[in-house]
Amino acid sequence: MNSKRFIRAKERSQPENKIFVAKNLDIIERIQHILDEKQWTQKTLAQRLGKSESEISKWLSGLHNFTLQTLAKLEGVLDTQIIITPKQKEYQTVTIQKNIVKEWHAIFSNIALKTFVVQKTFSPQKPTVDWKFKNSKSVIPNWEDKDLNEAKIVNHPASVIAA
Amino acid sequence: MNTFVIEEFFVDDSNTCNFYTVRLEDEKVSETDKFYDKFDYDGNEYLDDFGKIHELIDQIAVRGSNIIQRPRNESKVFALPPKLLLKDCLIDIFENKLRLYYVAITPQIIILLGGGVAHNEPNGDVPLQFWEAQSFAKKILDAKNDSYVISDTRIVSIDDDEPITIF
Repeated sequence: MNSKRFIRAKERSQPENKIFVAKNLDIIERIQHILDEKQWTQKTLAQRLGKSESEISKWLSGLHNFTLQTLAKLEGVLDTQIIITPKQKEYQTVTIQKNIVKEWHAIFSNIALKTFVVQKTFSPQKPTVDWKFKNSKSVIPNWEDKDLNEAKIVNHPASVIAA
Repeated sequence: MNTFVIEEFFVDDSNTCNFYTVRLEDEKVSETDKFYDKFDYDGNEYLDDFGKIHELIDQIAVRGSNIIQRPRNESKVFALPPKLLLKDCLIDIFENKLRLYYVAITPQIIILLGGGVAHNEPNGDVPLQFWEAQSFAKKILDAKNDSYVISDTRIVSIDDDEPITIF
């Protein structure tokens, strides 16, 4: 049977206390997750921050009133974001999407270039393209490179450079 | 110290961590209930601090105790808000003026031992409940497997339906 005092306290609990503790534990959980990922102990974190271990214990007690300055210090030392605002999340999503577009652009550029090479190679009257290989990685020219045709096109395939 | 019993404070099948408390055999109210009676009423100067400790218990019940107390091999007696072993406790570093002591039998089972105001002594000594908590904790840890056993997230009396009594 649960304590009647506990149930009563739960019923008359202030929303701000509930939110304060919940957010605090979210932050602690995040910090501990980052520490685990980095394989750091609280002692390591204390040393990096130039603080005592007891100060860090205080921060991770569940009721510490974190200031923005403390969180900024933590994020700086951990080199990771602890709190991400909706705006930051939105920005990160856009950045990820841009990166994906860049990757797809590179892939399609590669395919398009190969098509171009094939067309040039099988045309006896036209010069062939110098398709360079180095360390087994193809050198992908940028389509926006205005010197592309001049730089890469030669008259015979013997000019292919071996890695 | 008199004989005391361990009884449920906040125990639920859905809890990740269950909370028990101690009650002196010749008293009607548990040590944690006394703590609640002392601070949980409108107008109490520590009501806000009390509210945060209460919320911490409520949250730990759901999330588990590892979030605030990393596993360690040393003594298992701590204070809420948690910081470090009581023997090393620096009581003036918390924003919260109250302390509610506990002993962690396992990360899923915590026994609350009572508490009080951290600064009720002129020189900042720990509250009287600290010493009582130490005594409760020692007896509880010594009585494991004699008076009670651990069953998943609960503690169970050795004598089936009898309360867990510790002498």
